[in-house]
Amino acid sequence: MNGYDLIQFYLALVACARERGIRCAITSGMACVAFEVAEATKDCDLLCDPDAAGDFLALLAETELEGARCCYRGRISPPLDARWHAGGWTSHFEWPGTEAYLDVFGIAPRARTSWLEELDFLPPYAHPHVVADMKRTGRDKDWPFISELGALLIEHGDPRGWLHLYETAVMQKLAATEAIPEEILRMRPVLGLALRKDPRLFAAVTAERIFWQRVSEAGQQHYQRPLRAYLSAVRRAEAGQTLTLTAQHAIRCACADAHLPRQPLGPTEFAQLCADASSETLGLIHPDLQEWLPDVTANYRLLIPALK
Amino acid sequence: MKAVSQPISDERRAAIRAIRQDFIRRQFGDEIARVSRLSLDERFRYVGWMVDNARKHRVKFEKPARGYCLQGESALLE
Repeated sequence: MNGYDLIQFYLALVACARERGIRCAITSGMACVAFEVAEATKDCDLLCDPDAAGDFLALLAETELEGARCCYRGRISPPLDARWHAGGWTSHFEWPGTEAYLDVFGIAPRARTSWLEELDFLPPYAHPHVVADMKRTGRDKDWPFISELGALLIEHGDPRGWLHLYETAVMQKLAATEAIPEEILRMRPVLGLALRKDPRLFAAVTAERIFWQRVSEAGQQHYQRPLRAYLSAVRRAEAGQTLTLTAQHAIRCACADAHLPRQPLGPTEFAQLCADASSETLGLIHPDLQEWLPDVTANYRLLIPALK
Repeated sequence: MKAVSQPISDERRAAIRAIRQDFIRRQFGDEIARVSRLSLDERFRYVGWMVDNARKHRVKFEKPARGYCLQGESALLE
């Protein structure tokens, strides 16, 4: 199967899910292609309504690719189940013998707005605002896409695009001709530096990005830690068996019940990781830039409902 | 904050688009900038070609962690 056919397979799978009433949206690499920047991707990242996890699992169980049946990827993948997906866990699938990989998210990591409420930009893709928030990872290669998505939003008259510009030349060019709403300036004060042509803009935006990357990586650690015991339990339970997706799922739910916290990140952990990220960032930047570090609380409220 | 799109004139939209296209060209290169102006299906064909070409030249596609995805099993077992 060539790369284009693989993409068509993902699109057909998602179309089938939507026909069945399963709310889902393609995000990340494939979404960036849809939003005009081609990224060499051969996997599909999908947001799926946690309440429809069972229906989507049933669809995966009956979807074959070149004679291969879908299964969980490796032993490490948490179950596709609302109990864990609502807490930010993701599930990973493959069709053995093919190069099809599917990652399923329930909550869009770091998204300020619920992806379920913004499905109308370019179906079946997630809204660029959501995709841009998700792209705030620890990986450098993701960041140019965030700026591209920000500029795309501004081009469509959506001022939230200003929240996603990390390329200072683009910021300054757009700030010279486009108004930045007061609400957006309150949400991201560093934009004021672009308006004032302040020479600290580049350093301040770099500091923002370093802080974001530290927060994202620290958040991931909270999901990483419980996985060792989970992986061992799944390995023992699946040893020597060739299992259907449904049987794999039952084992993984039992193992997850024993080893995976449903909500790894709470308000206390979040406060600590922000403090740590701030401290690490301040070790790399000039102290005067501290005032421009972003408040990322809004990006975690959907994941941590108890967050004030 | 939900989407509250402002009406935007064709001229302003074209000017913003030009800035965005210039950014794509500088950041991702002339080839990706050219591809960004193709239709969606053509872009997917291009991505498919990129993947096939990489595979032909034995580029390994590490399956990267995304968001709260996971590192490799081997890393956890070490």
